[in-house]
Amino acid sequence: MEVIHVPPPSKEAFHKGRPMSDLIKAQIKHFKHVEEKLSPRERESIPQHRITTENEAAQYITAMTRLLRSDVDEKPAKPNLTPITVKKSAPRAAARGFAIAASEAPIKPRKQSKTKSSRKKK
Amino acid sequence: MPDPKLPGLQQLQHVVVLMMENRSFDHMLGALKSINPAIDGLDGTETNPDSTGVPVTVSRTAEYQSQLDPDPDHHFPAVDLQIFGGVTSAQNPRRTPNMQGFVKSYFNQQRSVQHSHLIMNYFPPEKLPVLTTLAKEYAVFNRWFSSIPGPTLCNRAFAHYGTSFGQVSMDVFYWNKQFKSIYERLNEAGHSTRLYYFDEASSSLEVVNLLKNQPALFGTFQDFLDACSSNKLPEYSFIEPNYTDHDSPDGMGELIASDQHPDHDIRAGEQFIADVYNAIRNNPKLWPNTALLIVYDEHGGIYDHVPPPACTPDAPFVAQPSATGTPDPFYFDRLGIRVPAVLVSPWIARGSVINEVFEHASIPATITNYFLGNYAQRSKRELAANTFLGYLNQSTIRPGDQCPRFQND
Repeated sequence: MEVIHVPPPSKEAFHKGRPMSDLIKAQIKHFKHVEEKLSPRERESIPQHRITTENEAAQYITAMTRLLRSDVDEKPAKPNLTPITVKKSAPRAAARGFAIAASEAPIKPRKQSKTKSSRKKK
Repeated sequence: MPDPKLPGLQQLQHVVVLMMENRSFDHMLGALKSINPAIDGLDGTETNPDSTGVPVTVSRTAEYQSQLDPDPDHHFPAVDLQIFGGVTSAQNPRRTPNMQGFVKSYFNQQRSVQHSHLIMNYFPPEKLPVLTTLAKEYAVFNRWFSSIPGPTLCNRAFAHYGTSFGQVSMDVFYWNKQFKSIYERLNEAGHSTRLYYFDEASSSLEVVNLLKNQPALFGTFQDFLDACSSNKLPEYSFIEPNYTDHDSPDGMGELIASDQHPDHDIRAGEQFIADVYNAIRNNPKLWPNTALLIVYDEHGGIYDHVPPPACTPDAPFVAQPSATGTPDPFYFDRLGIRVPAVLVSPWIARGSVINEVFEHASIPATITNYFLGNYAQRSKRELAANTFLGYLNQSTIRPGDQCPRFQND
């Protein structure tokens, strides 16, 4: 049986400024529910930026996931390798959506080893 | 219970479930009927009336992206309209599902008659080489329904707990948690299990209970790949795709959503399914003893022609009208809309078509029955659910050259 080739998504498919779907809004809502139960010290590490796009949601979710798993992960998480990468897309108009918080506090990336070339920005 | 003497079950050590997002059976696999008439897909004549009363015929013109924006409504009231065509129980207490309300429901979101027709589109098989190949080469379920005629989180709860604890919405906060998750059951009995989310930025949808209270249950998709390559795959694995387009948390790239939730590009999900399959298929120490189920959580508001059947009520749970958003309470006595589901193993005959009724409670039911045996503390729905490992029923394993391989371009 011959190997079946699977086409990649188009370069234009990537849109990190896409407004959050109801699913991601619900995921954020659940994380906010959990965040409210954290101690003030723990909450200091959680960014409180405006969340309207998928990428903004991802930044907040990263911080919450790291915090919830901080007792499990004794060492920095491994980079998540995947062949599903795309080039940076052209900037699009900012998405409109509801604001979960108003201040800007970008998350600091965790130090990690370099990943395979398939993950690098092209 | 499947016959434990089946050779495939004698060897079975691992079960992997990959749950994708928001596509109906007919949308993804309906075209396969023209290739195998046993598959209950589309013959091309199915219709739905639009808001002007004109019949809209299904069309093989689904695109990878851009047609389903805005995201089709799949909350409980919208799905009720999709299933019953707009007939309310007040109008007809004995109403029956007719699957005639999909176009009307999509029209309600943009008030565009033309755009509402797109909800009837489906993919030709050649546009989905991974999912359709696996469906043709292994076993496809003709009757796998979502558990609830509603959205993602309550449906996914059935895959984890065998119930949604009476909830029909995205607000699944587990204030009435009576049954343990399949992961807790396995851990307590000394079995290995993991939920693999894609990465920290996508994380899990199982936030409020499992991620918050049992973070050690989780791993990343890279952890799954590592577990496969190092022959350390847990007995039961549940995989979540990437839910967002986002910058990589390590700052080294950009990662595209692979969940296939509208309006994400379908091809990224196809490659993700291939990654999961390849990780198992290409390891000769895993392939003979691992079963992979690929299933979608719910239909995402997209057309399917098969009416959801009645089912065992999930007593004592009842969702009141304030929760359903309709004039009626819901007794969890009817399944949601049909979704794609494919079972993969070299112990399955090529071209298998399964006609038994399944739903997401079948997942914990199957895993519990296989690894734990009798286990009483389960929901009514899970206890009534069919299990699927009996379809690993071939007397000999299929030769490697008869099992497909994929390469992501």
